[in-house]
Amino acid sequence: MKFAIENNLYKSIFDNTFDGLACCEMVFDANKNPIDYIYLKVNKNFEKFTGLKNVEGKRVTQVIPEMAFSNPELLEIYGQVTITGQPQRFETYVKPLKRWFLISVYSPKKGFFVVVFQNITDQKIIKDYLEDVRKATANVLEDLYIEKENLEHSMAKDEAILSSIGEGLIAFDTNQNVMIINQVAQTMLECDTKNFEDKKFDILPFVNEAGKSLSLVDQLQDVANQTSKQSINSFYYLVRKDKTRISVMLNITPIQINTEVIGVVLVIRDITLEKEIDKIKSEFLSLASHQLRTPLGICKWYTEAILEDDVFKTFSKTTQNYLKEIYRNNGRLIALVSDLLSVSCIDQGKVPNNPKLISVPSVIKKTIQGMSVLAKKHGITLHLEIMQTNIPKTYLDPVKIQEVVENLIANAVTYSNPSGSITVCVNYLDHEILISIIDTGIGICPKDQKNIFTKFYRSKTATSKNTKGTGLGLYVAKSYVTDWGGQIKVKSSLGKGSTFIITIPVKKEA
Amino acid sequence: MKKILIVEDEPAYSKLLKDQLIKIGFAVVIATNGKNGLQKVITEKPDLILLDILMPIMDGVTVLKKLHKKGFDKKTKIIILTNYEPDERAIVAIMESIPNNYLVKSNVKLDELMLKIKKILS
Repeated sequence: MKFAIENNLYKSIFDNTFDGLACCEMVFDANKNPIDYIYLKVNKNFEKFTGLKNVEGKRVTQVIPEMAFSNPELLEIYGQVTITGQPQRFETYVKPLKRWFLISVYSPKKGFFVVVFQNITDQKIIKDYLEDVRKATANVLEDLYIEKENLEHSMAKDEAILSSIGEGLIAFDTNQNVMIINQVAQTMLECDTKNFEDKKFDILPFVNEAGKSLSLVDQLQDVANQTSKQSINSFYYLVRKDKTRISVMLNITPIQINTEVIGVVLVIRDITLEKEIDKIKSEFLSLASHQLRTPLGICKWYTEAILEDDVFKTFSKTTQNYLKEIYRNNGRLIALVSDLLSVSCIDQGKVPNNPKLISVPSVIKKTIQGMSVLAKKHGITLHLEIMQTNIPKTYLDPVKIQEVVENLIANAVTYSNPSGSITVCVNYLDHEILISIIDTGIGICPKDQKNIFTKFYRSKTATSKNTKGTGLGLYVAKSYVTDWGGQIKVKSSLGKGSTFIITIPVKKEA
Repeated sequence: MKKILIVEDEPAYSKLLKDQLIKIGFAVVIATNGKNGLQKVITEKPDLILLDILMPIMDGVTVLKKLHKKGFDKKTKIIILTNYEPDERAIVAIMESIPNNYLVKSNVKLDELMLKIKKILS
């Protein structure tokens, strides 16, 4: 009776335990190597955990034939336990069943063993997943660390750049608070960072030429209204604490995220030295041109006095030619000085401009009359064609337009062959005056056409035909025309001639 | 005989101008700086002044201002004869007041200058 009760109790425990259970008998070969085992008894969870049914009395090689290849270690471990009696506990993946098991194995009797196991596939998946998460987190953390390091490097670099640049730099947010200020700006504004912390700015110590102070609110307003990232460059005086003034160029650039303006960057450049150099350059130029022109002018007039005097006719032909040559070359020097002076004025933005309400056709007519002597001397005919009778008057410096047209006609004469012709056309189209100078000369090759308006540029054909040019005439012409808001273009084909076209917008006000 | 005052510090210019002007029948007085020129305007009462700009002691711009202040510029004709490019504000102002009489010496021909003087004084 007691035995029956115990037997039932063990059976109940065997069937209801949470683990999978299997009692097996090991099969050995002649050399006592474990080669198979037989399932003697398995519980309900065995079936549930392994998915294998009706295994009792069967060999494992029957139930899972692939086992010998997929999990050879199982036979080895179970064999060891059966022989030594030492229990083992391990985890393993049984590939044919596609499951993970936590297995405890012990031997109740030599040649027999009991396997107690749990299906830990889900835990394994979760564990693997957690491991993946851990690795991913570690990677993210590592990336973050690298990013942080990069950021620190970048910040250190930015700080080094900010402190090493020669310009003062301040960044304000839209509430006029200082976000960044570099050392140069602190020195310029005679303050240190502490003075700026949590301090709002409206009026900065900058005044313009009219004496008006720079308002930060206005500037922020201005940049906020701009949709582009355009920066504003303005000339200002920085007023120091001792009331002395420093000339500065202020560059104000909006800081934008997408289209939203989040502040402005103010770059302050001390231009005292540049101003001083400009002044010295201008004074030197003025003086040099005067000093050069004085002796040249004297030579010109004295030679003219001789050339016009009755005594000139008594000289031998050779002497007369010598004197003419002196006069001509002196004229070249004078022209060169004038051109250099013009270029220098253009470069400094100091071209004197005296616009007057003029009739362009009349000015050109007069210019052509003046140039006809030169053309005739070279055997070239010079025509004027005014295409419309009612070309409106425009505000333009008559001296300058005359200089430009004279220059282009003189070029056309120089680069024309004898018996060639030059036509100057004046037309009016779309509120613009068009002046075309058309010649039948040697032409300009395409490569040179791109460069002829560059300062000191002389094409090979130009240098072979005329060695005396300065390479400044067309540069000066283009600078003047561009200054009037117009354009100058060239069309040319080698051997056939060139056409220079000037367009000038009509201005009704000075 | 019409009288011309040359205010010019460069003797090579003033000598040639004097010779040429005498040749075409004018009386000529020379001053070598602006201050001397101003005195001669009062003492000599010229009909025309040929005035240089860059001169020692007193420059041509100051001379013009003083002549204007004393009203001499209404009675006396003035030709600015200089090698200075009119790029200074003061000179641009002068140019605008006498637009046809601002001549750059090295850019004007001697015979054209003589014709201009004859025309002004005729």
